[in-house]
Amino acid sequence: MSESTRPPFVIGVELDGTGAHPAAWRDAAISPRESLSPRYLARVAAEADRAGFSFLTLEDAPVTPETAAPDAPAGSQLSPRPGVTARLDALQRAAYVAPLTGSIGLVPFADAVYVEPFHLAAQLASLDIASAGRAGWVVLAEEFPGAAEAVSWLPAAGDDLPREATDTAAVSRLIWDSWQDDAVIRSVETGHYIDPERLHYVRYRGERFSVTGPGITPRPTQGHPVVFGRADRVAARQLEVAFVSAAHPTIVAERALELTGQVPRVVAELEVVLDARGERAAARLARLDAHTPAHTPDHTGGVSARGRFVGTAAGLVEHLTEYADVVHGVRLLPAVTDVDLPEIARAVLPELRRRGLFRSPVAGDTLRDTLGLDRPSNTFEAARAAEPASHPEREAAIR
Amino acid sequence: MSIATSTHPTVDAEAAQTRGQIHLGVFFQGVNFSTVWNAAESGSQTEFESFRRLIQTAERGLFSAFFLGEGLRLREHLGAIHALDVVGRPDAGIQLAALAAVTHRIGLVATQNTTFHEPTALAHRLGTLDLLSEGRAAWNIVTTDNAWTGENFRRGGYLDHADRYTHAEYVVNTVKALWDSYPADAPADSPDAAAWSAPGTAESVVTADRYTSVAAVSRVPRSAQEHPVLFQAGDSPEGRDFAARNADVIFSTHSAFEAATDFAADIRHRTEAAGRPADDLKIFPGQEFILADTEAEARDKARWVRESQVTPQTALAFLEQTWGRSLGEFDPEGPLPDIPSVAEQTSETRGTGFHGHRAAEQIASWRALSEEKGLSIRQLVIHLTSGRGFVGSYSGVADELLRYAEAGVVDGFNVTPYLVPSGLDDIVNGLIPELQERGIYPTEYRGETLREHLGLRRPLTRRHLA
Repeated sequence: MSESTRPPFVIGVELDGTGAHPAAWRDAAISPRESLSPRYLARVAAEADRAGFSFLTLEDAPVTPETAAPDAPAGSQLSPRPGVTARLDALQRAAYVAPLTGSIGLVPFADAVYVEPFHLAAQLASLDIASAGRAGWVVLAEEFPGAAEAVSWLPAAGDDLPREATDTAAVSRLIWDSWQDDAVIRSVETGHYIDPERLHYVRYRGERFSVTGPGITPRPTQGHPVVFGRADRVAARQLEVAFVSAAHPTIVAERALELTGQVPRVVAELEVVLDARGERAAARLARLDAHTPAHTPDHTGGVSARGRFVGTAAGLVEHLTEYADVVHGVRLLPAVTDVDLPEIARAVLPELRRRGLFRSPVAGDTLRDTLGLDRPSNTFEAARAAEPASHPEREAAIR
Repeated sequence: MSIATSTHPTVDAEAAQTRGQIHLGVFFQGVNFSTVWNAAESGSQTEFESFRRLIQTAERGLFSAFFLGEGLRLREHLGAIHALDVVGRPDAGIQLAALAAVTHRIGLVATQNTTFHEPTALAHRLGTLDLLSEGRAAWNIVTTDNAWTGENFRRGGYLDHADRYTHAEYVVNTVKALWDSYPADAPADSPDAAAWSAPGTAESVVTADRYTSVAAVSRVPRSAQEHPVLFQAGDSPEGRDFAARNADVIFSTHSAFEAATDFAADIRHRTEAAGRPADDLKIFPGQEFILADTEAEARDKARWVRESQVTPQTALAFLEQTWGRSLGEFDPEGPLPDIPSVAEQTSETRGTGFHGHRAAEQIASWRALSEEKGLSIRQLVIHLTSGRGFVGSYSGVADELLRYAEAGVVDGFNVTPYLVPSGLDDIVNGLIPELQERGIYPTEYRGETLREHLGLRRPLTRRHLA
């Protein structure tokens, strides 16, 4: 990045399950059953918060983990989890850790297709308020086998998925804006708890769903929780942070360049296997692969394979220093959370901070503060200011 | 910290054992104008700290359960958003997940309706809450066929009124089937196990009714209480039978002693008719508590609460629902409007539970009442809405509750605090020690789960299992 007012370099960490490697659970300190417990979730989230990560992500899908990403990362946003048959709702997991963490952003994956957008918007608003402005979401838009049969309407399929997800993201923003920030007035004189003029009907008429509004939850702390996702899954104009995945930093750089001007922040995804506990990273990986072969990153330059770093903590520091020149941040996926997360916390983040490449968030920072993103203005207030009498039915075309 | 255990010297331990126990639940954000938002001590209805303060106070007082309500469309009055009451609430599943992290024993009850939530989503999110809270989740089942609410959802007003309960029962049964479908003894309890889940994936649950078909694979194991506890509030015969067949706890509005007695007899009869032990369905009427050291102070406080709840504007809005038009030109401190209603039927504030009566008859009876007692508009509305609640001294109300406990006509009360977040302080600090002295209130949380604390049996679909 070459602009003079350079946005902060951010470092996120994925904390779903026991790690990103398909055999991670075999190297975890806890059993598969305990990996679903609130104690484990609280422990790893608090560890990531203390370590000073910018944000945590929690992968999720509307089907079992083993169904969600059979051949990931080549064809999916999600880490492969063969044999894993249970996972808790990521939005609720993020809410659970909200009061237990102080500064880390909370960014669950949330399905945008097999979902009621009205509920999703309320859930994200509630997460943002409960976390004092630390919420984001990763827009998930994939066609999962079996997911359509689990809902009572005919979901979008094939090429329509990104359009459906884009509609869901767009209507979520309108629902958040349906309450002005100053809607609650508590006027003893007029008896009004809210000023009804500061609440707005959404009147969204999309191709596949409509929402009248207003939302049931006041406008989120950040205005809008930050919208993360992949530009091939949801229209870039809805995204504030785009994930890019590629095996080589040079390809990451090319893809980041393509997104420049379309998405404010580009974050690279990187799996991490470190030397740890007296064992070399390569040996650890070989042992894990012997259990369950992980997808091999496509070193010939395939566009959707994830990058993976295998080596020492010092090597990762150098690697991330290279990334800092081409993207606005990274989302690290520890191969085994219990093993790699402590190493990153101990030897990687402190060194990057020492070099001035990275600044950890502090209590009171919103996720937008951490990312250097502005708080969005309110569509309805802006429209009213521009044209006081206007009251159009909102068409899908406006998004 | 729990309330110190104390035993009244005159209470025989055995009598206390057999004597009914009164549990308390708390309902956050009361409906309509029950919450006083305009007082100096009224706190935020939105910020997490208000919820944390209230639920932690409740837990200090050994409350069984903390409820969050649900309203999926903002209420309207005379065609505009109703502005006089508290508006805006969090999503219950999210807020309770956050509150699970700052509490240890209290039950977490999400009100979720069966019409605009998908059965698979309900099973997954309630199951998630149950695991995150380690067996403290509950579902307050509500039904609606409201097309007006449906305008916020994909399927609109798809449900016929007549099918409200049959569809709800289909949804509840599907949710239970999903909870039951996750294999026992999974996931593995050691990282050295041969497989993450030896039995593999849950069997697909396939169900259908006239409106919905589901083929879904569960991905949530059961918690220590096996299923979230099921609460239900339905007062029609159909609603009562629905509860008798499905619920663990029924809410009611029948809190007066005679009404509570009749309701209990009716519910026990229906519960037995549904093939369950009579005590299988617990009864929790909703109730407001206005308490002070003395009866006279409590009466003063009650007057203040009513006047704060029924503002001049709220009094007019109350009548406007029946008159069907704006009454803005009338003085709320003056006599009733001398004009007829514009609507044949009452125009309900949409999204509330007010029931319509024929407007003209209603107005005539109110006129007679206000003339007889010399009541202004506002005084009339205060009069009409003041019947509910226990008002009295701590010891006086405790004695009243003793009567309920000895007669065994309720298992608990669900409290609607009129102030947030301080609204439970009086109950926890003043009333509960009195109840404990009388041996009718828990002195500690019983067991680890909500099901254990309430003394409930296993879920109906699992009782036959070893």
